[in-house]
Parts: sequence; C-alpha cells; structure tokens
Amino acid sequence: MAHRPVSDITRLAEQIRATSGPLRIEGGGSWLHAGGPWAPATSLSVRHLRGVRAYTPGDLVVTVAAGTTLAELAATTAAHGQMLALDPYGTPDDTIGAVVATASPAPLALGDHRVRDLVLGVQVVTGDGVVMRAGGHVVKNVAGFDLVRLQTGAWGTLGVITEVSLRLHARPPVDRLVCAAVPHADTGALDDLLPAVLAQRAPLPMLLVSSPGEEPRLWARLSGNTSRVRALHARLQALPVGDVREAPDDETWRTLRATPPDAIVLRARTHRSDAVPFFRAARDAFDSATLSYDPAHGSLRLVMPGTGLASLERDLARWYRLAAARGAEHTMTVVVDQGRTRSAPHHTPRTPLEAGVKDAFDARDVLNRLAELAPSTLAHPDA
Amino acid sequence: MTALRETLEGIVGPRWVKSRAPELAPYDSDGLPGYRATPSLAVFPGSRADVIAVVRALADTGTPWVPRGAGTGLSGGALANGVVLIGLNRLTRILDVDPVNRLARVEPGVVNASLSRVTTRYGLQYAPDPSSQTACTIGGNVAENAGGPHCLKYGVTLNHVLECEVVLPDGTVTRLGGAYAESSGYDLLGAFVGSEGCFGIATEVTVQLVPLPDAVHTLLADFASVTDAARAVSRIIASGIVPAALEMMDNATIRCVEASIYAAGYPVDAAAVLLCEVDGVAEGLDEDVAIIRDACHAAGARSVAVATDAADRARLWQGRKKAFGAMGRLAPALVVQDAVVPRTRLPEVLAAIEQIGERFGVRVCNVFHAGDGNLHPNIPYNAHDAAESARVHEAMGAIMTACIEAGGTITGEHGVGLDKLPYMESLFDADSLDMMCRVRRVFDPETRANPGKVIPVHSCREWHGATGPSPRGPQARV
Repeated sequence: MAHRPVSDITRLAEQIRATSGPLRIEGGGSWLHAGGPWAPATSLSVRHLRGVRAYTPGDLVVTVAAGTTLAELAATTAAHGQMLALDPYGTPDDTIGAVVATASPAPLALGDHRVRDLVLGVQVVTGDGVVMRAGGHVVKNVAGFDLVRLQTGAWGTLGVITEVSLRLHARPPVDRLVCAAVPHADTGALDDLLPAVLAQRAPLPMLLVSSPGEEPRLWARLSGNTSRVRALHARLQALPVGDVREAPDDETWRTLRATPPDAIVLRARTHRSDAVPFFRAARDAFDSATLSYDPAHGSLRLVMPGTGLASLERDLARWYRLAAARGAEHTMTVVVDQGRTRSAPHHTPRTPLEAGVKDAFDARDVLNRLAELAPSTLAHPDA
Repeated sequence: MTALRETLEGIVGPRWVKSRAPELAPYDSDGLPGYRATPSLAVFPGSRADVIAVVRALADTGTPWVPRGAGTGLSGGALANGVVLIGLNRLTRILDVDPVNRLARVEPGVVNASLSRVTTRYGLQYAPDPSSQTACTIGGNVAENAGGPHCLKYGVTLNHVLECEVVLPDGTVTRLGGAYAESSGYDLLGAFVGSEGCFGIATEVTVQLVPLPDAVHTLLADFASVTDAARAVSRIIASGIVPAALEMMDNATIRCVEASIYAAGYPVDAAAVLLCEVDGVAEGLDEDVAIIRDACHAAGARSVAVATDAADRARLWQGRKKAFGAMGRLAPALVVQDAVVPRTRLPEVLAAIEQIGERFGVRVCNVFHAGDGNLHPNIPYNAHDAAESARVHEAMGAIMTACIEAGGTITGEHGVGLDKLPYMESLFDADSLDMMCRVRRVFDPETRANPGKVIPVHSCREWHGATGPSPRGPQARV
C-alpha cells in the first residue's frame, strides 16, 4: 500500500484529483485497527499538517491543523488556563482531525459536551480535490448551510479534514475526577443507583464502569468553585455508592480512556428510562466486556478485547434477547466503533439523502472506500 | 393557479387557503423591515397529513413554496414573491412530554415559550430563548437555528433538537437524528437545523429538556465606557465561570428603554450596562457572583447591583427583553442586525459601529449577547423615507463589512434569508458556496423550497454550466 505524507494543502488537493483509486485518510495512524482489515489503497497521512494556525486566548477559540495531537493542543491551551472541554476515548497522541472525523465519544466531558458541540469550523479537501471551508472562527454562526456537522463524524468519507477551529473553555478553578465503588451490583444495587443517577439535576458528568470480575465503579467529574465542588461531592455521595474518592493521578484517567487495539468496541443507546434492563442485560450477555454507561447521553460503550466474530454475534443475540425480556429492547441501537464485523459497510449509503450527500462531496467515491473502516449499525440478529 | 388553489382547498378546506391581496398582505414581510414579497397563495395545513399532502401537491405541479412559522424572523427569510406560502402556525400540539427521559415531542407551530410553560411543572425547561419567544415557533427556531440570551451556557437550538420528522420538497417523509438512537450515519439533522426552510419542513420535532436551575442570580454592572464593559466580559469569561447569560446594552439602548413603559431602572448616564446571570446548583453561586462583581470592578465598573429577588430579576430582564419594543418609540421601523465577532474584538468593532452611525447619519442602538460576541446593532428609522432607508442600508453594509474584517460572521442566530445574501461571498469562497448549493440540491433537487435564500443564485455553479474546482480553491477564506 502506497503511503503519502501530506504537508501542503495544495498538493493534497492535487493528489486527490490525480487519483482514481480509493484513498485511505490517516491522521496519527494510531487507530487504523478501527474496522480493519482494509482493502489495498493509497494512504494519505495528514499527520504532518500540524500546529496552531490561530489562537487568541481571549476569544477561547483555537484553529489548528488537523494533524495536531490532543497532547499538543492541551499543552497550548493549558498555558493560558484553557482546554478543549473533552478528552475522547483513545490516547493523547490522537490527532484532532481524527477526533473530529470520527466524532469520537468522550467520557466525563466538561458540561457533557460532545465533539459536535465544540467544532466551529473546518477546512476540508473534498473527494473532487476541492479545498473548501465550512463554519468559521466564532462561537455562534448560522451563515449558510451547516457543512461542519456533515463533516463531523463522517469518518473522512466526505473530505479530508485539514484544519479545525474549536471552541475552548476556561479551566474551572477546581476540576476533579472522583470515583466510588458500587457494592452489591450483582444483587440489584444498580436498580437503585441508575434511576438516582438519571434523576440527578446538577451538572455532574458521570460514567458507570463495569469491568469483568470487578465491582462496578461510578466515576464523576466535579468542576466549578470550591463550594460548588463540595456540594457536588455531597450529591454524589448521597447516591447508593461507596466512599467517593479523588482519582489518584492522570494515569487513571488515561487507563479509563485507553482502548486495546485488538478489541471490538460497540456503542449502544437507548432511552435513559430503560437504563437498568439495558445495562444489566449487557452485563449478563457479554462476559468479557468492559461496559461504560454515560447517563447524560444514555449511551453504553462495550469494549471486548480479543473477541471473535462468532462470539460477538452470539453475545449480541443474547443481549437483545435479555434486554427484550426485561423490556428495553425496542429502543436499542448498536453500532460498531472499532473492530471487524459482518455488518454493512458504513460508506454504503443507506438512504437517498446519505447517498446524495456522499455524491456531493465525493462523486468519484475515492475517500475511505474501505468496507469496515467506519462504524456501522448492527442489525437485530433476528431481523 | 386556480387549479392549484382548488387542489389545496381540497386538502385543508377553503377557509385555510388565502388568495386575495388583502388576505395575503400580512404575509408579505417578517420582523425585519425593508423586505416585502407577496406570495401567490397562502395555505395553512391543520395537521401533519395536511402538510405532507400540500407539499406533495406542490411537488406534482413543480410549484415553489416558502414555509413560515410565526413570521417573527429577522432576515427576510419567510417570504417570497409569487410562491405558495405554507403557514405552519396551526400545528400547535405538544405531542408528549417525557420528564424521565427529559424529552418533548412537538409540532412545528408550538410557540417557544409555551413549551417551557408546560414543562415547568416537571422542573424542566426548553433552554433556547430567543427574544421573540412569546411568539416565535419551534419550527421557525429549527429553521433558523435560533439562539437567545441563555444560549451562552445552554447552547443554541441545534444543541437541543434530537430528532425531526421532515417532509422533503419532493413529498418524501423521513426522520433525521434520533432521540435515543446511536447513529453511524451522516449528521443530517445537524445539516437540517438552520437550513432556513430550504431543506424541507419539520412536521415533528423532538427536543431535549434541561432541569430548571436550583437558583439564579442576576447582576447589573454599569460602565462609563463601552470598552470597559467589553473588558469585563473578557474577564468574566476567562474566570472559568460560564454565565447563563451575559448581555450588553449601550447608552442609546439604555435611554430608549428608560424612556419607555419597560423602564428597568438602568442608569441613563452609563455608557453601557452588562446584565449577567449565573444559575445552577445553589451552592457556589455566591462565590461566582463575587468573582463577577470583582471582574466588573477591575474592568472599571461604576457600580454592580445584584437583584435581590425574583421581581427584581424580572425587572432587570424586562429592559433587555423589551429593548426592541422600546426602540419602536423612536421611529416607525427598526432594523435589527445580527453579527458575531471574536470577543476580544468587541471594543474596536463597537467603536467602528459608532463611527459608521455618525458617517451615515443614523442612530445605532446596541443590545446584544456580549458573552459570545453576538452583536445586534439596531437602527430605528422611517422606512417611508427613501433617502433615510438608503442610508440605513448602507450603514448596515458597512457594519457587516467591519464584522467580517474583524474575523467574525454575518449572522449568529437570525439566519441569512434575503438580508445577508449580499455578504455571503465576502465570507465564503466560490467553492465553499458551491458545496452548500450541492448539499441543498440533495434535499431539494429542484430548489423549490424557499427559493433565492441563503446562497446567492449565481454562486451555484451548475446554473452556469461550470464544473470542477475553481482556480481560487486553496485561497479559500472565511
């Protein structure tokens, strides 16, 4: 497979125009296993497009080249007491371009923000080799149709993201990661905990993590001034959990976000009110999975290291069965975030609108035309 | 047109199709003076099925149409000459409120404020709060991606809409987004919100609701200079506090409000006042108030007052919310503008706006969302005076240019409509505009939905028979 680093937007556009075959777009190259293996293709890496293009701290907006890593972005903004308000699953070496392209989920984000909430503008080279911009550099903008949202989470199938403008947040005076054990989870403690978590009215990003053979833990991010953080701590402690303790170090945070390269990762979602059967059925169905439930968005992340395709499909069918038996199945949707499955390739447009959008940006179908590169919706096994 | 009228009457009933000039007059403008366009027919569907049938009838006859909510828009967006106007203000049902999942499913004609009135009983609110919220509709808010004072903390319409059922211009019905569905497809809902009626009509909108705050504190700081007030904005934002709202009014606006029945007790000799609100968990709010007070004083505030109770808060907000109404006393017409600039550029842009007002001999009143740099320069004038109207138009153009040159944008929450069309090419290069045209044609291949809005017609390349990237490509600028 040919591998071409890109250091210049004009050349990138020329390369795309000159290509007739499929192109694989890479950022840091740290997540190529997302959906692999892939068909031979020319690989274009944007990792050499890096660095801050514009940053006026008083505006709380930064514009960076797509190959800039999250670590570089964090270092730049931290110098001014600011931050990108989310740390997606992955590593600090991931590129911001990849994070935007994949709309990577981010646990315990400040204000429960998602990537789509924080991207203000992008520069993109389309599948026709056209350099275009969408959005801008200000925090509110409704000028023209919103092509930023279309690029965010399109997995590079609508264009090569070369530059992004991001909304930043000032670091709160106190910003603390805490966690507490959930004792007796197997005997029904979750039945009490999850409804209480969902009824929480305070801005309190939380994550319920259950690893095989371990007591589940409830993580939370407490931020604000000292009095508010104290109050949030008390609210968390009022939930049916063990002692709420501060996470020991940054390493804990990195471990929580890390994803083994050989794992299959699923994302699933349902109504928040179905959280108990949804979560418990998942725990029962997937023996080896680490489950992370994000109550703000009603989403569950399942990480299954070394899982084979056959066992995935068996466990998935079991999950649907168990969830159905407990009344949660009818609203469940599951997509693959990482790993090979037999499900339909993402880029195969499922609706005429999706096909039209793909055609508008990449009429020749050259960008990331790779069967399992991007996430795909898993059909119900009985469907 | 007679045949079409009869077809539409067959769908919605004769009472709900208007075709005579006096009946159509109310629909020839929106909230922004200076633009008039009369539809050939106005049709008012009474149900989702009616909307679909109407859109299909218009598709069958290749008829262009423009959707309209309450007509409170401020961009000249919901009007067009010779088209069929589809009024959605009869679709006013709140279909359900789900307090556990914090969702509401509504028809597009539901008035913004009435949704929050209903959800208050569950301790929940619909957060986006445009100043016209007592009249504007959720469907219109979706079309414009409407904002409001409290969007600084809570986000704009896009951040609150989870799912829409949409009738595409060809009559196809589709669902975009998902209230609680994990998606792996393109964010078509994100593209639909803010598409100004060009991508279709939302017949049902599912929005998220957020808890009402436990406590709210509102401050009013007054400043001897606009620059000081802008500096206070920067200090507050840099402190890490995200106020629920951070609004600025200049002296012209303050005087206007204080001379009206909406008088809020603002100091009439202040160059500017900042209205700042913090809300949420009760604990710690006092600390935030103290930090904000210090930030205002450090930036040169003459005084900082904190509302003592709900009535006091309502009084302070009344002046802000009714500022546009108060300006109605100054002249028969008011043009409300909408631009966004980087927050650090506020002082210089406000100074530039003042100079532009002097240069063109027009009075500019600034009342705006300072926390996110979203300016609303307003000019009261006599729309029947051609010379004055021309000066106002020129002044507005100069203000837009100043905002673009400061790295800003031409609209933060009102939309492009007709009013901002001339500036789109200053903001986006030809390739970027062409891509917008392409995406529009995905939703509406015949461009019959709200024709002539958002993108200048000549920017759409196929209409000139050109293909491929323009030579300007890499020099794209925003």
